[in-house]
Amino acid sequence: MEEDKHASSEADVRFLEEWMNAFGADVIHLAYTYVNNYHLAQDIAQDVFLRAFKNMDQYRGEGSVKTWLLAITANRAKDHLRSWAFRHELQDPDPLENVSSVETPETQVVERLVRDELWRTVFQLPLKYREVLVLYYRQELSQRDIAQALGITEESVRTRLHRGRQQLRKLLEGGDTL
Amino acid sequence: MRQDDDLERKLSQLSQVPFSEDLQRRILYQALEMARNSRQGSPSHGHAWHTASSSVAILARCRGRIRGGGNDGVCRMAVWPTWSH
Repeated sequence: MEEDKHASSEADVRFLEEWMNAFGADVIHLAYTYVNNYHLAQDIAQDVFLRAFKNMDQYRGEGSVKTWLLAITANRAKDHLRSWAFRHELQDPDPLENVSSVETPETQVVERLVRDELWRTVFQLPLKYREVLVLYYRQELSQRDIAQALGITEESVRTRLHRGRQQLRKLLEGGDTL
Repeated sequence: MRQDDDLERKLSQLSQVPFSEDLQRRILYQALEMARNSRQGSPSHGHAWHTASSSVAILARCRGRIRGGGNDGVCRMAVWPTWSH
């Protein structure tokens, strides 16, 4: 019995590693879509995978692992956005001022993301449109999976996709600010 | 297939947010620590490592938190199979 438990833990760690290889980029990309901060996105991704690891026994083999991980990511990111600490953080009008002058791979990533015009445009969208657009177009989830992941109806997904597309198209074509 | 090829193309151009090897190593290290603690029977970060046999205890803890107004992600994950988070 005890040996089984040890074997299970080792197998779980291997599963975790495979999940990170397969879906790590998807998880951190979605986290960044919510929080617009690379360091916070890293923290959320770490939290997501450790929670998945702790709860692995219950969920292994049930539905799409990717959808499950992205749903946890959406929940954790929203928890963070609702948190007292996030809401009371002083917002820096120029995020580039926070980029360290010492060049490291991480500061290069932060600088590239902060300067990315397309990301800046996407962040002008309301969160409810941004999340479905990224899950649908970038993560390639079905409307049904998006509905399950976000805890909303498929009809809501379709509506948000439609309105989100309209707003994004307007922003991309006209450079309007919402 | 997505119907709006132009938007799909635009969104597919969103630059990558790297999931670094360093981050992966940190997560694996913590997972290994949790697994090690579970073998020794000690809790990790306030939560006992749980297997299917201990999920009842997790749910009981969550009920307590919900009654107390708490709303953390562990509890919502505990009801994941019904997709009712």
